[in-house]
Amino acid sequence: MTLLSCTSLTASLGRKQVLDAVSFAVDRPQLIGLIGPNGAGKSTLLKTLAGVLDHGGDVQFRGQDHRAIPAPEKARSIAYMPQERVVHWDLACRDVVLLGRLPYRGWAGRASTEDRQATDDAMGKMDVLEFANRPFNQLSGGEQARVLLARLLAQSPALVLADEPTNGLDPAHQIGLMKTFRSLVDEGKTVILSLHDLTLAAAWCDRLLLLDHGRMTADGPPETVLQAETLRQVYGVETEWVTTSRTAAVIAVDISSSRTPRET
Amino acid sequence: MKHDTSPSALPYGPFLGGLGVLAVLVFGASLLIGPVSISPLEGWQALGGDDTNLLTLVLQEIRFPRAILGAAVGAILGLSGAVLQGLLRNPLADPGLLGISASASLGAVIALYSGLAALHIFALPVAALTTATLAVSLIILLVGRSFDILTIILAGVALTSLAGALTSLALNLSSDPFAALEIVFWMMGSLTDRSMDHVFLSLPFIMAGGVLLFATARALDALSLGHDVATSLGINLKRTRTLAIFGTAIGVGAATAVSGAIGFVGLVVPHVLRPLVGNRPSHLLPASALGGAIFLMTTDILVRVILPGKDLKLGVMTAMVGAPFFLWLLYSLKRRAV
Repeated sequence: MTLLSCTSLTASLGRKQVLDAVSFAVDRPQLIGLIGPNGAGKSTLLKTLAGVLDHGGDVQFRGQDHRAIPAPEKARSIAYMPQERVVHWDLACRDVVLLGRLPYRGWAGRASTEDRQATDDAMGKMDVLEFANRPFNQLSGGEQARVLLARLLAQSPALVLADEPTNGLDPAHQIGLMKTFRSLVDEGKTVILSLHDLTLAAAWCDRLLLLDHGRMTADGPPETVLQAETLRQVYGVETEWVTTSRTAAVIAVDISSSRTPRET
Repeated sequence: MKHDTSPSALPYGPFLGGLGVLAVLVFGASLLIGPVSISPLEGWQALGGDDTNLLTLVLQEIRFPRAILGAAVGAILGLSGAVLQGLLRNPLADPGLLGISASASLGAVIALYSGLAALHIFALPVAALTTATLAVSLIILLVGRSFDILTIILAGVALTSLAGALTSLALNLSSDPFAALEIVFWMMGSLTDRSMDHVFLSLPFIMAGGVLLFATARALDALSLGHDVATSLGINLKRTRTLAIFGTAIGVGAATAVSGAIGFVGLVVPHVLRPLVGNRPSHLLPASALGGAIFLMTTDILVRVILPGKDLKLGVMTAMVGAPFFLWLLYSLKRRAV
């Protein structure tokens, strides 16, 4: 069954329309990179899919109207991680991860053994069990990202949405994070994440969605989406593909001198 | 290997149990301590007795309603503070923030100013409840239009100023110095000379408000991760906000109606208890309710002990005890951080 399909999806922030007739479908587990310049609508698309923002057009999740799915049920299938890594109170890391089990607990319900097990499993997987009792706010950025990702895993979703998860991480943590997402896809989950790093996107994603001014400009495997001409038009940069013994990557080398004028 | 949830946190169950036992003990002390000293045994007999000697009268008509109100008012103030702090994710939030206390005070002042209060014992609390309800309706109107919590707070600030100005106007225009004095005293907050009638009037509202406030527990936990993540975890934030505002309005409105404005409890109590429950917003709710009850009953005992003949006002005392303690707390926290 098709996991997710969007047809003519629109979304607005206030009076400003941010997404315009976005259509795509996901019918098998994939690691999908959402790319595009600042303000293209990447975060808005993720929030819309997470059910945080209201939308127009048609979104089907597992054949059901996205809007008609009750919020707690949706929370058991779709997990969302925003760009900013914020925990407001000085919570211990285990309590942060345990929040991922909230959709599984009844009203005022206590955490069950199953919840605790899932929490420990998620923390083990992200290698953060040693931080279990440390305050979240005392960890480094990379450690925080892993703890928040463990929260997301504890939710055991079918669809993972992460907004620039590699932001502010060093290369080792970035690659570690992408490997984790890769392994989630191998487990049968679908992962959609927004990325600014085109090299990372090219190296790790099965499929890229390129957004520009709220429209889907390109959709396909990295090598077809990351064409020099497309990137010049959308980002206004000159890019080259570099092939090494291990991988092929796209790198931005300069700002385009003659930027193709775009419709607005 | 078994750890606590965070370095300074105490095991939650026993901690809550300990607070409960302490609350019961302070409640007992609140019955026994006062101008007429009563021994525990005498107190026990007098509380259940139906004879009309002085002890029974003091205990059943004066001390018992006073202790109940102290516990209930303190509990709702602490609880509401904990909920609002969790909702706004700001440790400085306080039940007074929404303008409920000031509006309730205004109603009471109108009753005192107009002389209605002298006509019937319920006139003052009913007037206070009415203005509190009006204030809430105004806030709910705003809530319906805007999703923004900041708007609600600003509305609360505006409401507080307006109610304060009208209260000052009543004082300004009051030709009767005695009425003016009564207004000033009432605004200081007190539990002196409250009867079981006051208990019956306010307790149902306080309890209803408490139920609404407790219903926000799960959502407050989720809100630790921010607005968007909470929504993605299946939390209905609109419902949460409505519960918190209604709960505070009904509960704190009723409390203010019988006790006058009592500050500092809603701010200090959750703040002190937060690290002891591992900073978890949901765990803070029952702890703050018990802590608020303990704090207010204790200060009410101090009021009776320190200046027995002077009718020292409870609101004055909570601020005098609370503020220095709060400053000390900030100082010690700062030192720990350095």
